[in-house]
Amino acid sequence: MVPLARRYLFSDRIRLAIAAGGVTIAVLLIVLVQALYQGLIDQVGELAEAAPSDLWVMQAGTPDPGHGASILPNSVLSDLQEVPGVAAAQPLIGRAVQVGSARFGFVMAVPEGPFQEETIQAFGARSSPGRGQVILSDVLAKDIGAGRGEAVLIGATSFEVVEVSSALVGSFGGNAFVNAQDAEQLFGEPEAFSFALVAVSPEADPEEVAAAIEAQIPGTNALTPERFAEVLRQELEEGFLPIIAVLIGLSFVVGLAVIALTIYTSTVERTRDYGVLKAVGASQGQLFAVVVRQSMVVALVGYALGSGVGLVVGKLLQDAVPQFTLLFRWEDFAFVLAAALVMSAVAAIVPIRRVARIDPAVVFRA
Amino acid sequence: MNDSQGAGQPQDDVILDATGLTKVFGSGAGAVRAVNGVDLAVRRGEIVLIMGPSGSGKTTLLTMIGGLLKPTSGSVHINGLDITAMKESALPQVRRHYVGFIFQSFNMLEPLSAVENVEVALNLAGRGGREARAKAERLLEDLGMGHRLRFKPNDLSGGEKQRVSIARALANDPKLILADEPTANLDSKHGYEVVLLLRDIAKKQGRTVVIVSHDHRIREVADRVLWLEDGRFKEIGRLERDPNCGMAIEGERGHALTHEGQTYYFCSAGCRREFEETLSSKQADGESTSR
Repeated sequence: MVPLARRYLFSDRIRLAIAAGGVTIAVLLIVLVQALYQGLIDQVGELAEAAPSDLWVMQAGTPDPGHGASILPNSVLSDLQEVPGVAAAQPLIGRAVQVGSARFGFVMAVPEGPFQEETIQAFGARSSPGRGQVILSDVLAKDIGAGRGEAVLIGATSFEVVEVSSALVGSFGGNAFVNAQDAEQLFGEPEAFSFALVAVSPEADPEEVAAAIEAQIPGTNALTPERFAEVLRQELEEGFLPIIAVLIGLSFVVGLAVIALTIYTSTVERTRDYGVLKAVGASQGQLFAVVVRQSMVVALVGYALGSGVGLVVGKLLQDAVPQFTLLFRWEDFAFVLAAALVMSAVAAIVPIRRVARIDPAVVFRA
Repeated sequence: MNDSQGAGQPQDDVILDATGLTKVFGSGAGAVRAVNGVDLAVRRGEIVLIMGPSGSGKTTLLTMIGGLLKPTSGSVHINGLDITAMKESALPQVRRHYVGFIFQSFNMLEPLSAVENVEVALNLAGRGGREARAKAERLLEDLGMGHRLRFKPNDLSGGEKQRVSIARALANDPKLILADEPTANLDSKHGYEVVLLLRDIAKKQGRTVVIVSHDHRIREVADRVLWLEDGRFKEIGRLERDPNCGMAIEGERGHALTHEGQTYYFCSAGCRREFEETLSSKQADGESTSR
């Protein structure tokens, strides 16, 4: 078969380049925005999911450690032991604090407890730092320009950076690990902690234990790690999703407009050719297929380029701006492909209407 | 040569049968009757040449016969099929299998090579792959275009383009070939080659050929010449050739000019004026040379 659609497209390479370029930019934007959003979503729940426990217990009404400080008195730890089904409770101190000159980081410490070492390692540190020492996540270190052996201010206290780790788990990648005593001093609450990581008895149901904790210890919330991560992600989604939707929508419209204009102008220029095809027996369906194929080729070329460039730009962006954690998922690429195909189909509507109206008698005009 | 319109021909041999064909453009006081009750029957293997002044309705008639334009009234039967009774959606099928068009301006698809221009017609009829390519190549080779198969239209001469256009028209073995001014954009040599090709298409391949043209040479190969004027076939008079534009015109209806004892006929006052100006300038040149 003569690849008529492809020949039409490739006969004007500048037009094709402009069209594919426009779609590439649209796809690139969608891919990056999606990856950025998914990166945030993934990261924001990472801390909650990493806990080596069955439940998180926190001060009621403070589900987001990045934006609300959970403060629980030490007495809660003994209260937890009274709740049926609770096997052990490990305290955790953590709060968003200014690190360096202009950056907030989530500063954590794991005080002594039934599974202190396990908790420290679960959050990505090899061991608890000594007094006056801090382990910085690589993202935070790069962001504030601090390296190993250097001093860094956390709140008003100076700490020595003993390790820069890429393994630290935490919200938005900006984490710091300090000694528990230093954390108590830093936050000014020696008789308090932030969260209790609760291990439940093997025979107990974590959901039921969580309900019992909330009932028996007023002023607390108890959540499974999955539920805690979900709450955190939900909060982020509520804040970001409308913005993401607008950005993706705008990118879609840009891509759509570029394809539609390109295919439409090409169709107008080739009015006579479509008339010739009608005269030699092309049905409306066959002509529409020529238009739709052109539109699809533009969309697919734009998709391939946009996705490829998106991966490269994403990597560069992540290196340049450490806070940008991008997560590329195959399902997002599938979504963008579907969006590109929808774009091509919608973009073909106007040219198709134009082709349908072409009078084949045009071919008899000299 | 026979100037009748085909009445009384044996019906089983009639490939094209148009009856009472009328096309009115517009409505009310501004309505234009481009074709007005035309009857035309053309037999297998026959070449019919339709001539007439510009705006007489020739092309409108051709587009109706080819199923490209719905007549206001009347009917067109091609090989017994009443195409005027068909739905719009069924007409492409007729155009694919029963009719082949040859155009004045060749109408080649520019991004395609010569062979692809022919192959695309086969593809539209559901024939693809090697079979379609082989047939397209064979058709072009038969028309002396074997050495130009991969050439793009821009690299072909007018005569070569028209050969490709003819091959495309023949691709699906149509019984009826409709040609609109097939020699108008060609020089005399290539124009004459096309005339001979059209003759072969009718006489050797047994196809019916209807040609709309002003070209006198086609009269040599036509079985019948019909004169269309004001949308109707009229008794054909003595045909003359406009020396300015080459158009065939009826002597009695043309703009006449007698010069040095010879009478010339023109399709319009404009052509006569241009011819007079040419004569005057030649005369002036002659006088200055003799001085």
